[in-house]
Amino acid sequence: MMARAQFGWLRRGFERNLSVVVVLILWEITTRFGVFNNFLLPPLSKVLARGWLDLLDGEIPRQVLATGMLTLVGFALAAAGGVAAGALMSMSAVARRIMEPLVSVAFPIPKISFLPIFILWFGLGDASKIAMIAFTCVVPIISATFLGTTTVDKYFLWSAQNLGTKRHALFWKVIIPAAAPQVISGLQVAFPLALIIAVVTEMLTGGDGLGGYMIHAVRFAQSDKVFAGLLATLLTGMVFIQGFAWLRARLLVWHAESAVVGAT
Amino acid sequence: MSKALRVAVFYMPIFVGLILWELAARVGLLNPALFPSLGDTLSAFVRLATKAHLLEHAELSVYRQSSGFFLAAAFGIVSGMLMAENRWVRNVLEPLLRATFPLPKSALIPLFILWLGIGDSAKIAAVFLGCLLPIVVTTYNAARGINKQLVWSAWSLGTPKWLIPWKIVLPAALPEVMSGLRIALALSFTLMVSAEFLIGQRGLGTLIGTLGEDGDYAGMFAAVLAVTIIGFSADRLFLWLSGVLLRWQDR
Repeated sequence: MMARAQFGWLRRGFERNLSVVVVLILWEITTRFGVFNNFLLPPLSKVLARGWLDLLDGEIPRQVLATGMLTLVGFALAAAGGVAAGALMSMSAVARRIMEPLVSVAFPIPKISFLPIFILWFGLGDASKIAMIAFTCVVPIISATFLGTTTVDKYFLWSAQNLGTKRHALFWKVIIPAAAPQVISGLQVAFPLALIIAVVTEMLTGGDGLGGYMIHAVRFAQSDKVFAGLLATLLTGMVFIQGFAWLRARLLVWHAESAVVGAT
Repeated sequence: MSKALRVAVFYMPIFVGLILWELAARVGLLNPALFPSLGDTLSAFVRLATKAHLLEHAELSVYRQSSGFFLAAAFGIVSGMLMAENRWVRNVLEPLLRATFPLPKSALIPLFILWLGIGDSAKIAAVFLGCLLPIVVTTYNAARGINKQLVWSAWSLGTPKWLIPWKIVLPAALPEVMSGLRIALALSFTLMVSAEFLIGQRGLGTLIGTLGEDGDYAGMFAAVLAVTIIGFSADRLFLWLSGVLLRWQDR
């Protein structure tokens, strides 16, 4: 009974991820028996061995760190600028009049096509990559913040005003907290974009980072490295997204949604 | 106010911005080597369109993007629906989705270069797989989240069980499915341009890259403008289409 209770989480985790385990086993077996060309699909064990070697000699940690830093810096700029701009739009009619059409045009366009322009302006280094990430992420953050701050429950505003809250305090004490779930959702939508763009810009400008690692591996026909890079990128994405969900739960501990999530 | 006038007034700040761009270039605030004027960009656009086969590049890019996107939409909606309706499909696919979802979609491009080379198929595959996951996930969540009373009512009115997913569940989930498709549409253009930057001889992404390498920056701006116009028009077309499909919604 003790053992079962102790390892219950392990069994549940196995059952919840059974199909992933099956796919990984099939990957190993079929490649071992030569069903697939081993260059195009190297056995899982070979990929893991390559990943392990590059992990130990510090190459993968360096690339993960490079991509992670790039993503975080670009995203932080977009978050600060986007939340400020979105809040400004909801407070000032002039700002809204100017920015609404800009956002509505910038929302659907493939912003990555501006990369060569940014490279022209900021060079091949990190500055152009960061600018690209920030430009891509800022648009959904602005529109989420704008929507969140303009659709705050009117009863909150009326109650606060009734109790004598000044306009300035109303914004910081009522509107921002009430809009927080939507703003954070906007940040959560924008974050995967930051990673996507970080990886693409690294592929294009070469140099450090997981994107550079993978594209280098393709150019030198090291297929096991391509897959090791993919796994490392996937794990990096997982860590970031889990971290984000954790942060959201911490920040919104007071909010009704946390209680609901906790109950399920 | 007529509709055209309202649209013009709404987009006024953009026109003002374009005029400011031209004025800044005219009075020498912008370094022409780094930031060509609007006029130069537009004349480069005409030059590309008449002399450099801009339209053919654009056609090829749109062909790659739309093949990938429509394949992803078809597969994504069907598998999302199957996941919502069938326990076995759900048990197999849900863990796989959960495990692969955090992968930044652009990381798939090197894999497809490895597998499919530098032709059209690698780019289409990158767009397809990149768009597939978000579409499956939104469809699955939307189909699971519909009001169950709709299903019960249809059932009690005698709708055959096999018809319910397509007659009841999918239409009820459509608003959410459409907003998922819109996100995927934007992603499809991003992936198409990124893949073309990396590989191949033709297509708008490649054109932007080669013009930049040749130092023809007005041409490069013009090609970026072309991509921007295409992405924007595709989104507005999509919004119009969702409006038509969802006109039954009361808003």
